[in-house]
Amino acid sequence: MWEKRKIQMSKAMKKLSKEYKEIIVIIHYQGKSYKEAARILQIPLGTVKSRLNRAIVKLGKILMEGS
Amino acid sequence: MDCHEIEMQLYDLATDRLTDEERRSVERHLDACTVCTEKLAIIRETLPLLEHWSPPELPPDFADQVIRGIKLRQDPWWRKVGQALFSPWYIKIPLEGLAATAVLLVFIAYQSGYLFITDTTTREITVTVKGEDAPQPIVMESPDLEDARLKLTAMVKEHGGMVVRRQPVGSDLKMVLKIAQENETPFLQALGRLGKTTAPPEHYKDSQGNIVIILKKK
Repeated sequence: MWEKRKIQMSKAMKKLSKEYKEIIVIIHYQGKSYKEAARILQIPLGTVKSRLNRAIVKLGKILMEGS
Repeated sequence: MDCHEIEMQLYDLATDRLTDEERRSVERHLDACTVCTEKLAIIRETLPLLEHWSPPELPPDFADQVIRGIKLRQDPWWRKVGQALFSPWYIKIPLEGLAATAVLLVFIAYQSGYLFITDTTTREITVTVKGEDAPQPIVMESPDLEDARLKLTAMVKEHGGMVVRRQPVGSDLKMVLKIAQENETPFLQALGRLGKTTAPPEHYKDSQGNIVIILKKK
């Protein structure tokens, strides 16, 4: 089960756009603050927040389509 | 608050990062908005699944790489060209200066006839093989080639002619001279004054009618 989910996630991540993947990695996996992410990505703070939420929703939809 | 403002806080709500007041405000909106509620549900279902994936090992300068990548995507074409040509300037400008100087030197050498000597020799051999007018140059010997060259040049001018080309051939110097036909005999006679000179062979002119003389170091 674990292995299957791992493969599903890997496939879904590959389908995600570079911008969405970047924001998930920076905020969720690296634990950077929104402010730090805004500096790294050179985008406004509000864009960081909305992009992160859209990225996770998009990822969830890709996973649902795949299952 | 509208849907856009709420959307920005759904991740924080799902990961319990909101203050009590913020959370209540978002929840009030969610009570009346099915679209945002559905998005929150998707986020809540997706977050645990993120544990099944881990990003590839990232280099310590990952953040800087992302910034550079973004700048590159945002930069206009002329800035990209400028960066490709001159950045970092302290490396590229000296290198480009050297390359330009090398090209200039090669060009000057080519124009002066100091380049492709082997090539010229090869062409002369080819002419001989074909049996065309192969010049058999007049040979002059002198202990000082430069002195002989200057004297020969002066003598050519005295006879109303000009040096068409001079070209080092090994340790010798090949001089190609244009002399008016009426001045040719006095010029050939005067050559003896400059040093030991071989008698003019039958074909001492090239296909353009120029006199070919080889200055040899004695």
